[in-house]
Amino acid sequence: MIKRILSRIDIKNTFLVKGMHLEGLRVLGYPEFFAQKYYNENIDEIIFQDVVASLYKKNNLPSLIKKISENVFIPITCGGGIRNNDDISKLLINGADRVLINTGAVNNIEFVKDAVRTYGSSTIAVGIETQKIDNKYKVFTESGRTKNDIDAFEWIKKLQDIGVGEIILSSISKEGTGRGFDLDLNEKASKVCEVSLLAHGGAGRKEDVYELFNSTAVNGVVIAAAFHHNYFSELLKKKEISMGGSTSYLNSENFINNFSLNIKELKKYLKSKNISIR
Amino acid sequence: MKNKNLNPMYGMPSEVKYCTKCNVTNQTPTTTNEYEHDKNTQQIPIEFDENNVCYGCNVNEKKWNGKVDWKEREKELIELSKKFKNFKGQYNCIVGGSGGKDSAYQSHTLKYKYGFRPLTVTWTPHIYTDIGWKNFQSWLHVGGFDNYLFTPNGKIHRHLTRRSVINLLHPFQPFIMGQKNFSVKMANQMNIPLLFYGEAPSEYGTKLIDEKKFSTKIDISHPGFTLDSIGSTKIEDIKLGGETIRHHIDQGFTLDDFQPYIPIDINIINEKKIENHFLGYYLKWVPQENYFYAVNNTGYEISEERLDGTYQKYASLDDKIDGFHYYTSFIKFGFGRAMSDSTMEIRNGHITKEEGLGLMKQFDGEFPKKYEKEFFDYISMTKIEFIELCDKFRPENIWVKKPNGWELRNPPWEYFNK
Repeated sequence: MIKRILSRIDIKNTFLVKGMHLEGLRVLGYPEFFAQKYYNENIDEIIFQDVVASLYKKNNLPSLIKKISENVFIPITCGGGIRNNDDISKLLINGADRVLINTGAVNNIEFVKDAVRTYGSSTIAVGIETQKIDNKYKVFTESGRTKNDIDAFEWIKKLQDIGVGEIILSSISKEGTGRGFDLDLNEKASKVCEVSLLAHGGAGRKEDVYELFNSTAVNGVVIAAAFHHNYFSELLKKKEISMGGSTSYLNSENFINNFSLNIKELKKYLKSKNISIR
Repeated sequence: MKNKNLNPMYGMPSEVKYCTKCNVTNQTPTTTNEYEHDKNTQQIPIEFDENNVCYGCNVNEKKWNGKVDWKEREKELIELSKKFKNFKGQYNCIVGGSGGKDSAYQSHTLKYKYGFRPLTVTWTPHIYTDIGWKNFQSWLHVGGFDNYLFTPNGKIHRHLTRRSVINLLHPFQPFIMGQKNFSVKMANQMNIPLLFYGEAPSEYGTKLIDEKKFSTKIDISHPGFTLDSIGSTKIEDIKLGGETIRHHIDQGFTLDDFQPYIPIDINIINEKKIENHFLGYYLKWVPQENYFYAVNNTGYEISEERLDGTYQKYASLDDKIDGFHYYTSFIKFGFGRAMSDSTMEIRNGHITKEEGLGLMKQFDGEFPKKYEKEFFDYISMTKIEFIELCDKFRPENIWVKKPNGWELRNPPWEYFNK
């Protein structure tokens, strides 16, 4: 089976931001430059996640996606603040191929059922943000801010029962750290999950990605910080960036850049290890 | 404005206004001399300029607009490190802190980038959270520091916390007093000539006499900003928890019980030439960058979910009483935890003014449920007693009682939409 390599681009207002453990709003640049670059480097797909949409109850993605999808011809998934079919339609009309729902699904599962009926399974993905609390993986919403008394694996079962086409599983404790994947989580999830499962959170070295594919049955990997670190200095337009995120990182001269991955090199490495990829 | 006839409290202006840039309320007090603080204390409010911009914004503006030459400032820090390089002794400076993101950044940068030899010292929180204790341990074990942890007599600390709540609705006061003085006392005892504090308090709107350090003189217009909090006042007449030490002694306590809270004799600081410096003067202080730095370098971890009363999960998370510190400040000044966090993040460019308004509307004033049981046990008070007490501290220029409960008379998100 072919494993998919996706990049995730977190959005706040018009910026690409990156946190750690889904916290912090370090601005790394503009999403359109990163998307274009990743497309040129042969990334398989891109996920755009508005990380403050649920918090501020607004969604800035449609106009951004419209612009980006004019030049980027790979599957695009959009998430952040999706609460009803209108939100979904707006994204699809503007160029998204699929939507990603998290908070909206936990708050109202009926909405997801309806969305699956209306748009089809392959258009509806659900994001699960999770970390271990008292030895159990719990489901979090609002970009990792709110804990719900829902077991992550039970949640996966429920979602696939109602026809959700794909699960994107984010490990909060690994997210943004580059310290490797939570293999225990991904292995357990892939045993339960009968639909497509993508692992997010922890990619730092190419070996991490190989280990993930070698020891779990996930269908793909979602990588954010490691790719951003590799490309952001060439994509930097720092003079234009002013307010609305932590920009001092951009203006400091010594970036704390302790892990990074190049898309082409990662793919080459995985092929050399007999992982089937595009 | 009809609000003009409504009485303010605590020395704040009668008309409630909010800063045009960061939304902070003009009811925000600047740092107070806690040793004089009692029921009648008139605190000094944050200053607003003629454009209704707060002093905190104007200070932060300088940090970002290129007027401060940070390269020059860094050189000054390197000079300081040279000055103390050959100081005979295992340590040449003290960094006080909890092992949170800020003290982690401070101590680690000073030691591993600028070559200082810091001893870290910690005044314990009222009640450690699990994550706070874990971060404290990681600071030392992952970050790599020597540390002295001081834990004051729990009975006395609880007594003072309870009195601070009853008299001042100010549960954090005993911690503030202890923490402020502990570093200096350790410098004296260990014969260490230099102390570092974190960001300058001016970043939050308190005017400083000297932007580099705490003053060692008494200055009536900057009452909280001196290491000489007592002056010529007799020890028995200084106040703890809003009551004189004499009063506490009359209740059966001894002077020795309160020694950890009593400031060091200023003459000792002067004679020994103990220097103190704000690291935020030398290096640009960016709270979110400190967070990233601490995760990368000292094993810092954050709260598993957002903290009560606010949206964030990365700051001020080591004391189970933290939530009540912000909640009581919301009652007395209309300055809640979401306001505290969002105004800071706006001044540092992390979020926008409009986002700040939305966050305050959503989260400010949320009751700190998570540790309420521990807190009420700690201060020997029921929740009902506490809520009734809070109502006595609500200024009428800020609050109005509606059928559904108390409401801000003029909340910031409405103030700016008029």
